[in-house]
Amino acid sequence: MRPGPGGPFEEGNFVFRYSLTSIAGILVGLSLVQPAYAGPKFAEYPVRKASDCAVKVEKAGLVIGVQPIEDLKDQKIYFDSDLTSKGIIPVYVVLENGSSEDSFLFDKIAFQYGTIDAGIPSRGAPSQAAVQDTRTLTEVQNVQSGGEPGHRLRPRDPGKRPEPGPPVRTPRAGAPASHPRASGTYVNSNSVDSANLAFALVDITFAIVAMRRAANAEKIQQYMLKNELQSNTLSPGRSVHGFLYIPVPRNGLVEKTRLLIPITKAGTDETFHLSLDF
Amino acid sequence: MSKARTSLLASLLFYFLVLPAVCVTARSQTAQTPPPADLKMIPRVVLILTPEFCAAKNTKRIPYEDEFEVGKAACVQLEPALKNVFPNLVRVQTASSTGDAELVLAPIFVDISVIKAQFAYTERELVLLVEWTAKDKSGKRVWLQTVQGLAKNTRGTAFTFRENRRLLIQGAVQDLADKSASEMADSPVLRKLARQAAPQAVPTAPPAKAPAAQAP
Repeated sequence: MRPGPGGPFEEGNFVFRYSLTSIAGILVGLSLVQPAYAGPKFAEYPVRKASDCAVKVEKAGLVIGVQPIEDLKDQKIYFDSDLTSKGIIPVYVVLENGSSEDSFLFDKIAFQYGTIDAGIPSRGAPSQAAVQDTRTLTEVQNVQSGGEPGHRLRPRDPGKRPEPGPPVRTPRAGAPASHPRASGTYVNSNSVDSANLAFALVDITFAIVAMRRAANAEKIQQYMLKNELQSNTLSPGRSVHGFLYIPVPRNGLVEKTRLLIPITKAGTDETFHLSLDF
Repeated sequence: MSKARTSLLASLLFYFLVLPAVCVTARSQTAQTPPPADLKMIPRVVLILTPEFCAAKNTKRIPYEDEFEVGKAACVQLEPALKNVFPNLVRVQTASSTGDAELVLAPIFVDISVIKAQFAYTERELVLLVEWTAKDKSGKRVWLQTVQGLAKNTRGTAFTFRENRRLLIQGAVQDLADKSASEMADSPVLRKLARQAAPQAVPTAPPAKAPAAQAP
């Protein structure tokens, strides 16, 4: 027995179609979310010797090699991020103690950097121009997580759900004009509900993408922290390596940079500075 | 048939129970490598744990979560771990009360980083960076080392998040303490200082006596 027009199965048909629309919308939303949902992937940077680095310098048996990671492809591979556009350049630094007797101390707090044009003194504090662009990793992370400060998602009344309303269906030919369900009101209601649903899905998608981007930015920042070159003692024959993150202008015009790395002989007050330009 | 089933069950039991136990035992044995004897000869070693260090928390506040009081845990767990390397370790609160110590150890927190967990079962990692400075009797720096303490755990539900946070902090601080002790034990600079601090205790005789003492 087939149900007649306006029978109970007609309602079921609407629910089925409404559900199909919802499912299709969710699938589209998920397909957009998926790429953003994937977490950051970091390839391990190959350990280099100081002699294999682009810039190297030697003094008192200590060799320091420096390899800036300026190529955006490399930054994507090793940090899963375009760090230059965030205003920093990762610089791989390796320190090798070739001395057979002396141990050296590398104190990270004392290292200096700046542009050569700004006139960094070979010793002492960096010039004002050199330090004015200094930003912490936290500030970099803030930029990574959500673009410019103050940017917010379009408000869409998140607590307000589209009302279910009456069953929605298209008017059928031959239905009496006086019948309320034959009027065009139902068609408009359908399109309004679909639009609300679409907007809700888009909002949810954006919210998930934003959450995921923020989480990814935190992971990138933590990965950078774990791989950062820290204060160390270089015993005879020992080497240490890691990254230093140098702030650069965000316009991509990277000027020639100078690193000043202070080294202290363990157990003495003898300190010398090694200068590396790249 | 039943014999085959029994052997299958036995092999499963072996893989799931015996092998992990063997691995855990092996791991614990590698973690408990005895420290070199020369470091134990330093007559007086001072560990400075300032009130500021013991009050260290994560600087970046995570919404809807309490702070991670890692300094409090570090001040409890560091001393016992370092006592394995330096039996004559004394803990003080200020740099001025080190007295005539041959070796002064001072840690500072460089960074405390934890990722915000979005869901209850999202795994997150706590990263602690502590910089150790060791000074000799004359006040000169002889050793400088940054040590990472890491631990992972899920955030947990409304019922378990406090305990999970406690375990996360405890795990990261214990990792930090173990790595710190290991770095100190392996440091040639500290061992050299230990030999200089106790010159009368360095004669070459002890290695010859050691096997005889172990024999029943």
